[in-house]
Amino acid sequence: MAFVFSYIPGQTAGTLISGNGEFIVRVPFAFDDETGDVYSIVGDFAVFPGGGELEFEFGFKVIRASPEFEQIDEIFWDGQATMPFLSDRGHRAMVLGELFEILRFLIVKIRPQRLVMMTHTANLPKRALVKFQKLVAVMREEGLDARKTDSWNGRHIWIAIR
Amino acid sequence: MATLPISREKQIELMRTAAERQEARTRVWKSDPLVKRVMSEPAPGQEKTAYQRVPLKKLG
Repeated sequence: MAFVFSYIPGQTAGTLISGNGEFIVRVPFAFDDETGDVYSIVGDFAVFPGGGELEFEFGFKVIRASPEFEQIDEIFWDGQATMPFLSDRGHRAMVLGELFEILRFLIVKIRPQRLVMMTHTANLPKRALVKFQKLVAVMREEGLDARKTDSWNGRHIWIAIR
Repeated sequence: MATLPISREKQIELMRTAAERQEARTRVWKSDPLVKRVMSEPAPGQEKTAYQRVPLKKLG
């Protein structure tokens, strides 16, 4: 495998799609020059159980897909799982920076009344939680009152309201 | 618009079922033709082309 990081900050076009109560933004950042697989950072707003109008759950993931077969091959929820191909610290920082811009875009575009965000894995290491704290900072910069509530069984939740 | 608080019970339920919701959502993505197409579009530099997309807002 030859992983080629081809993302250019501020110049890589993203795509927004919506449906099923979701708003999904996808920005490609790399490809494999042997298999042709493409890697993207994806952030999404989705309705959550009990949520009202303009109330969403924010989620994010890295997706590996195949242009040849037009299919999604693998979805990475955990930053640790992306280390085998996204190990360069500078590249990781750029992808994280793009995730912040995706969240910012979604907040400005959709204007949610409430956002919830949570960890999916219990007992994440501190450095993984820093990423969530930075996402919370973006929510605050965009006018939301975002706060962390008590964790539960090693899982964390943040709630932001306008 | 009034935004009522999310009860602690509801917060725990959301945390407990977070992974299930994500997995259910992405199962739908994996079978949806538009989502698959969008996720599969080539990354920058992947296609050998002399052309580039120009956002419409930059025209005119």
